[in-house]
Amino acid sequence: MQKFLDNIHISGTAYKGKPLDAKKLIACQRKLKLNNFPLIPQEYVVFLHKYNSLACDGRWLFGVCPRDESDLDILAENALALVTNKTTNLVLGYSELEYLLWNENNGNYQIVDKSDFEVLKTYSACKDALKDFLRLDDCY
Amino acid sequence: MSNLSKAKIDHRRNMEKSLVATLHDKIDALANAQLKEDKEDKKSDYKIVKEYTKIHKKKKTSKRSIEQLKKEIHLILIACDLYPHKKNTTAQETTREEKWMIHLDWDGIFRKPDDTDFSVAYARNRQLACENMYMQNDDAPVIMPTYAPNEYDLEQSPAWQMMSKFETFASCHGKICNQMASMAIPPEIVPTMNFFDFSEVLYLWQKERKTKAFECSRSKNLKMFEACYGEKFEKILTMLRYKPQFIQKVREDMRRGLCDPLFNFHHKDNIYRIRECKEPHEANLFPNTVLTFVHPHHRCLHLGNGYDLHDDLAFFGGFDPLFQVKRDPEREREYLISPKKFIKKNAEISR
Repeated sequence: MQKFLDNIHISGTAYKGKPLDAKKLIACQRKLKLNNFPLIPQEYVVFLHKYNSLACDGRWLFGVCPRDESDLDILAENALALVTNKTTNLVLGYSELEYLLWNENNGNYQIVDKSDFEVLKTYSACKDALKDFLRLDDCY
Repeated sequence: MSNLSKAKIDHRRNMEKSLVATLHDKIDALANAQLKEDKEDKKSDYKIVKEYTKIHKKKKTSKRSIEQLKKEIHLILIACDLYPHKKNTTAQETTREEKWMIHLDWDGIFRKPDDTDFSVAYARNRQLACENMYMQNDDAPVIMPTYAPNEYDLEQSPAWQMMSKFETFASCHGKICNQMASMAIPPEIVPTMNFFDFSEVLYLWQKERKTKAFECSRSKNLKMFEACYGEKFEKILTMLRYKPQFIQKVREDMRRGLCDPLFNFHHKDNIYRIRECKEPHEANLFPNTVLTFVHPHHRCLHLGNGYDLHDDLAFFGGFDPLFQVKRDPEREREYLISPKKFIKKNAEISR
C-alpha cells in the first residue's frame, strides 16, 4: 500500500488533502461508532495518512474533516449518502455513477452502481480498489 | 449578459453567492443533524478534537430539524425553478447489460463481469483459443483453425446491434474483428455473443496493444464543452470572481478531456431510468449532460428523488440564469462534423 501511495500519479488538476492527524482520526472513528457506521478500515487509514481526501477528474475520495468543512468529510458524506445498509457499508468515495464502499461484514471494498447499488467489482485489497476507482489501471 | 451594467452584475453575483452559501450551510446542517453528538469530545483536552467537534455541531440534532431542513432546501430549489423529478412508473428500467454499457462508455473502465455473464459459446471458445490444437470426438487431434477479420459479421449479434448504437463502441468494430480473429473465435458463434463477451474482446485488444481502445464519453464531452462554450464559461467564472489563472487552467484541462475537482458532469436523466424519455445509448451524449459546480449545485440535484434541470442547459453555474449557459445545437452540430475545423475556425474568430 505504501509503495502504491508513493507511486500514485494523478493526471490533471487534483486536490490532494494534507496527511491526516491521528487525533482527528480518533475523534472521527468514535463518531462513526456512535452513529452505527462501520469504522474506517486500517488500509484506508494508511491512505489517509498520505492524502486526507483526494479529488481528481470526477472522482472523490473522502477524508476526515479535510478542509475544516464538511465537503469530502467521510462523516458528513455518509450521513447524506443514499446508501442501503449504512451499518455495514461505509462510503469512501464517489463519482457521477459509482460509490466506493467498505463492506465491514464481508471485509472487502466494493465499487457499486449509484442508482441501484449493484456491486460492479469487489476487492479484498484497498490498493486494488483505489487503482480501479481512480482509473489508474485498466482494471479487469 | 453584455447589456447589464457592472452594478447590476455585481448585485446578481452577490445574491447568487449568498444563495449558494445558504444552500451550502443547510446541506451541511442536514448532514450534521443526522449525526449523534459525542459527549466525550467536549471533555477532550486536544484542540484538534475540539475543532472537529465544533464543525460537526453547528445545528442541534432532532428529527424535526432534519425534516425542517429538507423542506427549507426544497423550497429554495423550487424558488430557483428546479422541480423534483416525477417518476414515470410505466417506463422500463435499464437492464444490467445496458447499465454496464453506459458505465463503460462513460468512464472507459473495463470491469470483469461474473464468469456466468459470458455466453456459453464464447466462454468455451475463449478457453480453446489458448491451445494450439484440440481433440475431436474420435480423439483425432485437430489444429486450431484460423479466421480472417472480415469473416466476422457482428451485426448478426443482437447485443452488438445494441452496442453499436453507442458511437464509442461502433468505432471499435474493426478492433473487435481483429481481436476475435487473433483469438481464433469461430465466426459462427457471433450471433450468440453478448455484451460481456464483446467488452472482454475489446479489453484484450487494449491490453495487448497497451493503448486505449476508445476515448470515453466523459472526456469527449469535456472537450466538446470547452470548444463550444469555453468562452461563455470563462465569462461566467470571471463574473463569479474566479482568478484568471484558475479559469485558464480549468479550460486547459478540459481541452485534454480532464475536469477540475470543483466541477462535475451531471446526467440530466438518471441512467437507471433513462427510458423515461431517452434510449440507453443517449445517456452519455452531450445533450444529456450538464457541467456544474460540485457543492452545493450538484448535491442539490441529487437530493431526494433528484431535481430536474432544463434540457437546454450546458453549464449550470448558478441558480440565477445569468450564471448558466444554454445549449446551441447548431454550434454543437458544427463541432461534431469536424472538431478540428471548428476549433481552428473559432480560434481565428477570437483572434
